[in-house]
Parts: sequence; structure tokens; C-alpha cells
Amino acid sequence: MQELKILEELRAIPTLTGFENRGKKEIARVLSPYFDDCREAGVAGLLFTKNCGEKDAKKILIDVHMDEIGWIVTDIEENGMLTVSPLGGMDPRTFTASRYTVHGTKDLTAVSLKKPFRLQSGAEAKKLPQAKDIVLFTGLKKEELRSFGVKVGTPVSMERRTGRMGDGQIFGAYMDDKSCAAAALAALEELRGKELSYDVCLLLSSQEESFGAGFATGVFDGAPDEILVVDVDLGFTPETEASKTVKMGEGPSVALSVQTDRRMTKELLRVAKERQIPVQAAMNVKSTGTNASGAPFLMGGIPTAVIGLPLKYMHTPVEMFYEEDLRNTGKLIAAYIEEHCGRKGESQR
Amino acid sequence: MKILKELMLVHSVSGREKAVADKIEKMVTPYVDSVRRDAMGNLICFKKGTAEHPKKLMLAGHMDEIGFIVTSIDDKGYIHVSSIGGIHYVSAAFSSVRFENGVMGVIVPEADFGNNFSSDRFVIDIGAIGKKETEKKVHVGDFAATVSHVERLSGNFYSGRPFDDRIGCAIMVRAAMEAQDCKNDTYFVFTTQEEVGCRGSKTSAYAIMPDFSVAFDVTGSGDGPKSRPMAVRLGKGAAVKVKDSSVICDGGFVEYLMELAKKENIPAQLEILEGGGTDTCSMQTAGAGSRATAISVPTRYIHSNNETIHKGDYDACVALTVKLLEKDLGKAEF
Repeated sequence: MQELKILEELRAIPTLTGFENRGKKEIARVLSPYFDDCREAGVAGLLFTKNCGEKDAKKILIDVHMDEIGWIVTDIEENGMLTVSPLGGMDPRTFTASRYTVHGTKDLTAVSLKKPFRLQSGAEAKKLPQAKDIVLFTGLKKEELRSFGVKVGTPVSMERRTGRMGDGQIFGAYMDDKSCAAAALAALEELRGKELSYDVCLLLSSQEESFGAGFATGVFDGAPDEILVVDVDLGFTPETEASKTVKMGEGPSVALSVQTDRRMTKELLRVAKERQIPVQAAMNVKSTGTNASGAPFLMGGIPTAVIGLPLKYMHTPVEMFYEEDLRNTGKLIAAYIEEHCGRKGESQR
Repeated sequence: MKILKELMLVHSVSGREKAVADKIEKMVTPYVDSVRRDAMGNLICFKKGTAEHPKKLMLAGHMDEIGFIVTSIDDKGYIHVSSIGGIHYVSAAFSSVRFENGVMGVIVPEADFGNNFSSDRFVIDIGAIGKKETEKKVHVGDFAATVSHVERLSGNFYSGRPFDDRIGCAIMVRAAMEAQDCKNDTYFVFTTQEEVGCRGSKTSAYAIMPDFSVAFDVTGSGDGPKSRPMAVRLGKGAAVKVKDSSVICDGGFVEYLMELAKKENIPAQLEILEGGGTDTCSMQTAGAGSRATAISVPTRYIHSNNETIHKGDYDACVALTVKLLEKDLGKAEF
């Protein structure tokens, strides 16, 4: 299967956090062929199901968030400049001199501006840019912007250019978390033809980057028996601490945390070893920083594990990962499901 | 303004909302089918919808206000307090306060407090002449709030406290009275403990599991002196919430309300509140979720003793809510 092709298709669809409804139809179109059923679930979420064929089968749910970070227009100034507020955790280092798309009734190109560097005082120049100082320039007048449907509340997304580094790493915005959707599809492909006793669901959840409304409501809707949250994990770069990051190119991470289920994490590490899939145990004691944070409190608690795709430069337009890590993430998901949700796995429990 | 004033003049700090709930219950009961209170003190008023297949619509406005709780009484008779909700200390300093039992006091900062605005530097003086005397009137665990009042400024501007959020309650009361025909199964929920983490709305929304939900609350504005930039202006109509710091509202529902306002010639404006959350988030995430937004009243100096609003905006919020109640949301396409 061509994971990277699917990834590109998904990345081309704007699904800004809180504005997923705008891209949901397109996402459904891309992913539906791989499932038996697709329906809306929870707040602005999509729930895809691959049936195992048994009646009232248990369900394992793979959660991947579809939302993206960006800006929201807070006002249009008289001169046509757009003031904005961050949607999700935008990296302040990327605030200025970047290219964006304003999603009015038509997509409009914008650039972010601040006072010229040479005119900034010493102290000012050393400070990270603040969201409140950023304006977006589209070259359009206030009235023209209005005619394109731009108003208070219009979402703005980062530039979606992608490419490959010399060593094969792939870069671009919104690899978080669409790369993991591609990994989940790779897993389904691996599972094709395998006999399972669980239905496999894929939840494309909303608002992970903002207020988390999509995961809790989507899970409530899907009512699964187990959850695998698949999200990107902070990859090591020379300036970071090894203990707070995972290694790039050495396989997916499995989070060990109070928020994850010990039986599931143990089994994930075991099946990875058995099938020689590279994997790294990652200590995220207090919080995994993913949708799984809410899982222990949902519907009396649902066993949950977190699988992480190592990714560098998170929340920038140059998020970067190894294709091999994506494939191995898919393999790990598939291996776990095959062992634990297959006919054989059922009798082993 | 009569209903609003009446609701504002009752004290009901978070966790102690009974007084205002009693008042609202009396006002609303003739206009709804049933009234009940839940374990957290939420007042839930239900009106059956007339549509063939009515959807569940939940409206929420919070009854509680910010205030203080007594933590200890010292030997001199000064009352030490902890804050309930986000106190505006600049405004609270040297204000009159009233306890639930009617005892009056003044809240004063310690003499050398400088810029250290926190509740442990504030004490309440009810006429201190020693611990024994004070303890006859006030006890640890008692609630107090700065004295409520409301006055008209020039034109249609009014100032006082607590507009947050008796004005939201008043909008719901008036809408219940004025709506000719409630198409949806409508739950008018007057919630508790919003100021300490939207707690009442969490349990009530979970019990109701609405399809659509609207919160009623105050929001900031960009037209105060040196206020942070914000597109909302007093006097420009009902503010329909797009986002605040707890929720991103349903885009379709926001559009629907703006279109409805336009069609009915009700002034309305879009709102993004960068600092502050509302009951909207609890309703959006209850159960499998609901399509949620909020209708807000643009307000200057929120949480101060002189929150300031424009009556035209209040009326616009009522008008828009009435029109919403009369729409069958099951047939709305958004």
C-alpha cells in the first residue's frame, strides 16, 4: 500500500482544530474504501469500522486526531490587515515571515508580518514574537476580504509544502497527526485477510490540539473495549534531552505512563520483540500529552495504550519523520491487533 | 430591566446558589412544563417541543457569582478569607461586602500589600472588636460577596454587579416568557459553580445529553480604555461565540444564528474571547457531544464591582433566543 500517497491526500485537506467539519467529507472519501462503515461520531469526528463478521463483537479503537494547528482571525483592520489568535499550540518561532492560507469562501494566500528586524530595539529583537503582535497581510482591502467571506472566526492554516531530506526523512506541516492516520491504514493493510474476533475502528478525532472535545465524545459514541491512541512523539534533536525525547529512525514508541494500561503496553513491547519490529519504551510518567490523557476517566475507564511516531520540529511547517518509522508503526499496530484481537489471541487470554 | 435587577440583587456565591434559584423558579414555573433541581443545585426547567420529532436543546446560564469564603477569624476580630472564583482585587479593595445572613462588612487589603493582590492579603472588617464578638455573627465557612447594585449611566448603558451571569439567567427567563412556541424539547438550565470550573453544567449536561446547546454569559469587549484588541463592541448587538479559552463552537451553529439574526433584523456580532471560559464547553462534550455555541452580552470591566453593559445588547440577546426557540432544529441544515 502507498502510505505516503494517502498521507499526501489527507494533508491536502484543511481540518483546522475546531473546524474539522469543513474537511470531514473529503477525509471520509479518502479513507472509506478501506472500511466497511463510516459514520460521524462525537464532536466533529469520523468513526470508520472494519467488521470482523461476528455479531456483537468486541471493538478495538485506533484513535488518530485529524485536527491541525493554525490561526483564527480575530478582526480585520481598516487597512486590510488581519489580527489573529493561535488555534492550538503554534510555535512562536514560526510566527513571523511565514506563509499561510486564509480559509474564506476562497483560499487566500497570506504572509505574517511584524516590525522589521532592523527597526526593533535590542531587547525587542531578542524576544520571541508574541501572537498579539502578529498581523497577516493578504494584499486585499477590507471590503475585498469581506467579499471572500473572511470575518471574525475565519481559520488560517500553515503552508502545506512537503519534501524529502538527503537521508530520506520527509518534512511538511501537519504530519502531526495525519502521518499516524497513514500508519493506521498500513496496519489495516497488514491485517487484510487475517481472521479477527474484534471489530477494528478508526476514530479520526477533532480538537486534540485545542480542547479535546473530539476524543471523549467520539469514544463515548464508539464505546470500544480497548483503545490504541496513535500520535506523533517528540523526536531527539541534538539540542534536546535524550530522556525527554525518542530516537529518530528506531521505531515507534510505546508510552509507559499512569495513563496507559500496563497489560497493553507490556504486550505491545512483547509482540514487537517477537516479530522483530523496532520499538522504544518511552517514559511519560504523569502524562502522555496525547488524547490518552482523558481515557482513564471515560465510561468507567477503558484500557488504553499510546503508540508514538517519532517526529522532529513538532508544530512547525517542517515537521519531519522517517518513512521507516511510519511503516514500523503500522506493523506494530497490526501485530498487536492480530495477537490480541485475532482468534488465536482470544483463546490465549 | 426589572427581571434582571431583581436577579442581580440576590447574593449567590458559587456553591450557595439557592437564593437566586428560588427566585428564578418562581419566575419561570408558569411558562414551562416541569421544574426540578439536581444534586448539584442546578435548576432544570423543561418545556416540551411542539415539533413532530423534537430535538433536545439545552440552554445554560450560571446562577453563581464570585465572592469570598471565611477561612479563619483572628484575635482582633478580622475575618480572613479565601477567594471563590476570579476576584478582581483592584476593584474589591475597600468595597462593602455582605454575608448570606445579611451582616455587612468592608474588605480591606493589609496596609503594606503593595502589588500583591491575593486573597491571603485581604481581610473583612465587620466592625472588629475582638474574636468573640465577630464569632457571634460570622463563622468559618460562611460566604460573602461585594454588595450588588445596578445603576443607569448615560443612554442605554448600565453598570453594577453581578451582571455576570444574572444577565444570562435573565435572558433565559425572558425567552421562556416571550417565546410563542418552543419547537424543540427545551431545557432551560440555570447552572451552579460556573465560576469555579463550570461544574454544574457538567453534571446537568451529562444528564440531559442535548443535541444542541447554547450558553448565556457575559463576554469582554474591545472598546474599554486600553482594553486588549477584540472585535466585540458594546451596543453592536448579541455576541455569537466562535471561540473562547475553553471551547471552539460549532461553525454551522454559529452561522445559523448569525443568519437568523440577519433575517430577523436583530443586531449581532461574532465573538472570540481570548481569556475566559464558559459553560459551553461542558455542554459540547457531554456524552457523545452536542453542537454548541453561546450567546453573550458584551461587557466592560468583568468581575469588577461595576461591570458595564448596553441594554440594547441585552434585548438583542433575548430577541435572538426567542427566535431560536421557535425554530425546529431538527429541520435546520448546518
